[in-house]
Amino acid sequence: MRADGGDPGLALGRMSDGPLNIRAGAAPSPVVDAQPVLRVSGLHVAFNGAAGRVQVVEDVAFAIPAGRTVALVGESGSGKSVTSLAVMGLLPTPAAEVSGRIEFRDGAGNVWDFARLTEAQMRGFRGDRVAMIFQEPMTSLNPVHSVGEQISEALLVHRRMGRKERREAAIRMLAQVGIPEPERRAAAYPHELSGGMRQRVMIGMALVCQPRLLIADEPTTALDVTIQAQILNDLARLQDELGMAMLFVTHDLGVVAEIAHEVVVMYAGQVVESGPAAHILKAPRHPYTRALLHAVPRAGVDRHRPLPAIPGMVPDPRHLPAGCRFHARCQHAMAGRCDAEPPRLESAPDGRTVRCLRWREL
Amino acid sequence: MPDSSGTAFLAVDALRKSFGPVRAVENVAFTLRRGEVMGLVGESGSGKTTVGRLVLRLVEPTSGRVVFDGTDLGALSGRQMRRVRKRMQIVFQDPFSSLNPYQRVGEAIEEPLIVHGLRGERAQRQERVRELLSLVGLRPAHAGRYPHEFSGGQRQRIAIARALASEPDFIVADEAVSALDVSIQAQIINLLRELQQSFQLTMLFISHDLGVVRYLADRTMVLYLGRIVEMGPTEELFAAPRHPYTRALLSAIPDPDPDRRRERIILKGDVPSPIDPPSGCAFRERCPFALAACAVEVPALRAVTPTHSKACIRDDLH
Amino acid sequence: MIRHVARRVVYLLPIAVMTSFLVFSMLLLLPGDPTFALLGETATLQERAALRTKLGFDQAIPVQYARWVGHMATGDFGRSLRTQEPVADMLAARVPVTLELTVLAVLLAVVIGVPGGIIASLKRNGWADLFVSFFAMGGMALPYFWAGILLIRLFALKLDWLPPSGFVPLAQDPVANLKLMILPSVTVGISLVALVMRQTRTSMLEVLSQDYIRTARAKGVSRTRLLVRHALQNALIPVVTVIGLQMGTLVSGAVVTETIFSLPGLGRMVVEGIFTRDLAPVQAAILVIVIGVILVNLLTDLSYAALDRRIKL
Repeated sequence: MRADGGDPGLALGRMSDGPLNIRAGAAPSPVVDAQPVLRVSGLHVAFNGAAGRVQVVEDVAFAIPAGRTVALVGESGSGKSVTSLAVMGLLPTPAAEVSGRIEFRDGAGNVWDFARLTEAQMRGFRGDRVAMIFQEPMTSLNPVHSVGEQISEALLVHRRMGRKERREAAIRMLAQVGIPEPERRAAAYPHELSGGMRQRVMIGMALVCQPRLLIADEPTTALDVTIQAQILNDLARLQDELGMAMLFVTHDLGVVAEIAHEVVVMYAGQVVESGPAAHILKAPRHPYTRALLHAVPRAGVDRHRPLPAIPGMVPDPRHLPAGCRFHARCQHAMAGRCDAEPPRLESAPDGRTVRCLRWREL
Repeated sequence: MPDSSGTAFLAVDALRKSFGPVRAVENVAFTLRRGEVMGLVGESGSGKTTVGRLVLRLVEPTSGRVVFDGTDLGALSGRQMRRVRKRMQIVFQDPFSSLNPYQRVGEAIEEPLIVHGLRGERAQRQERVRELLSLVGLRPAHAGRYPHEFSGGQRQRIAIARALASEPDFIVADEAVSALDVSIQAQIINLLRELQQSFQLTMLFISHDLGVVRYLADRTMVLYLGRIVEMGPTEELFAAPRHPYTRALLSAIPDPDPDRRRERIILKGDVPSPIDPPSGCAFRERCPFALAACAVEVPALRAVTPTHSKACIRDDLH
Repeated sequence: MIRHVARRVVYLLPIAVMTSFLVFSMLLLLPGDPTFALLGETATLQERAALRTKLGFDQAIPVQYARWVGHMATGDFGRSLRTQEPVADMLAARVPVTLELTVLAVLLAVVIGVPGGIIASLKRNGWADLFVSFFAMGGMALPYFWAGILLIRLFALKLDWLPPSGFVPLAQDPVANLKLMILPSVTVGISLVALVMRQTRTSMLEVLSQDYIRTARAKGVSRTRLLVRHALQNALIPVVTVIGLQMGTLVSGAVVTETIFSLPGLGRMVVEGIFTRDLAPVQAAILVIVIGVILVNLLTDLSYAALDRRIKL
């Protein structure tokens, strides 16, 4: 349910009217390419460390067509960030063990399985056809290089572009991501910019080679709400301009509503629910998604009652509970069933999936 | 419910703080009744953390007064201040760095009891530590453990237990739930609310998260570039914000409910530098409703209803 | 930039005055009498007193200091009491020797220490890392005189690869000069190499775990570019600090080392002067050293600004 277009230059941007946006998937959009840019299937990630082997991501699957956004939602320990880093091939080797398929379709229609490429091959994709932005714009920028240099570095690495051309490209990019006085800003260092501007620089850096896939890992979490609103707006606009697929990692279901077409909800390393964003936010099927939606205080919540918190905490991946991983915190858990039988990820006829033994009854 | 007698338990008047050329807090004034929860919202650089510290006199104000339960804190000597301090406590945002990693949790909670000379006997103090741990939802046996053995939410419970050890009647919660995961955040919010009600705590709840403030605060004030731009009863302020900045701020909160679509105000640019703020209203350069007159003088905070005030010259906006 | 340097130099003046006064007066307070060295054991008390008056040794220390500074300002560094050689000439001959020794030692530290530290950080806990940690520990614990003697025994006496001692000016015969300077500069440099290696390793490990390294990887930069452009430039900042802070230690190492290898440098000049109570050369040499160390600290500060843009000049 994302606004289409919207002029960022105006002080007042209006969200598109109507209860559901067409891009939210309520009605299939005719321009959607049948072949997704990214198709992840059977993704497993385990870490081998001093404490032994820990499975942190288990059997994750999703697909993102061009021009669409899939949000990976979950709390810390859900495996959402690990999943996004696995797609980029940025997990530490050899500690992280990645298996499954991470299929990327390039502009010429060739399909590459990132899970099987060498580090050198992966380098050719990263920053060029596949780019990523991170949560902390301060620490994610190199303090000793100017932002212009950092933005245009990918053009040197992937396009062998000369110094003057790179400088011009960096200035164009800064203007495109909405930074005023781009000529002057190109020479600035990260510490001279505000948090919002730094995140714009990160976005410019990621988009400079016009990637087909952008991975955004909590890109607005460290920002103030008014700046978050600007950045989300700009990301949506840039996505439309470039037609890229976007994987958006977040813990905030409100942000999901703003930016995503599809949602994949993760808990303790597994997908617990997925489907069109509007449908899942409106009528969640998994008790965890539902609990997550209600645990956040927002308009309409009765101040005089306790918040419906989720008791307990996310399980330790080294000691996962038997049965459903959420059962100990779930108000609908049935003794003898939910704590014994691990639920499978079921596909419903409406294209949604859910991992709960009781979802039909609830 | 806050005490309705109307006498101020905490009165802050014309509070100012400059750090060199940076005017962090400018002319902040408000009062709190006993048992009242005041929400303080604002974005980074708004000065909200500084206000919290000024009120506790953890930072000396450049000018202005803080009167706590009839006592002018500025007039107190160091020793007298220490005596008042046990009645005023603070809970910080980061549950990881606010606890000493080499100190057992029990010792951390016991420390304020020793510092303030409360519960003289060791056995009595330890009894109190156990009591406090169960009060915040932990087990008394946890006293012997170190902070790293706890999760973020549990550490925040420990920090709350420590703050409550000296039986304060005033607490500043500075982004106390901001670093926590959604499911844990709700638990801590509920805990804070429960404790606030059962001990009739007066609270200054500082947060950038408007949803949390809306849930916890009786009244709310909005800070922009060191000045209060709007203050009023929470429900009223959220339902019908009077200041254009508050309106933009509230409209920017992403809402997961697909049916609750509303006008979205996207502000231009960044918060201006506190070293060189615009003349007149500090918000005018980003304000969609700014007039030429807005550049002339700093708008005063004035009452629009007996309980609601704003610092904006435009009365024609609704 | 120029204004900043000028301001820093002005700040350094009082430091130079204070240290030189301290050095000057401490030397005068040394037990012993310079007249013994000049007149021999047999001179009478009257003869000694007359000479002391002639040389001004009977005046108050601040007066002597003021006179000394006054002479220095006009370029008159005085003469050695013992050899009657002008101190200025002595300095001209000896400063290059010590300078060469320290420059070579720092060069060694950079050329061996920095790459060694980088390799150790990349092969963390591997054999290279183990070797570096071992070397770093040993190198820092090794006293100069001991290292010097060991090196002479091994490379000069046993293997006969290098000359054990002596000196040929660089301008006269560069090859012979460098051959003679290898062992002394290793002796002086060994602890700095160790320190730089350890510091490089630590700060590389720290920098490599930073978010911006991940950002650079996400851009697809090559491994070499990642290490040099993104990691090393940040990691070198603390390494420069360490080198700057060690300059004083390095000079004191040079004093000992010049004695072991019979190099005619400032250090030897100081030691010989002290033994014979020939104070004018000692005072001048120490002043040169103090000013040198102060200037190196200034250079260190300036190089931060070049490495780290967050530091404003």
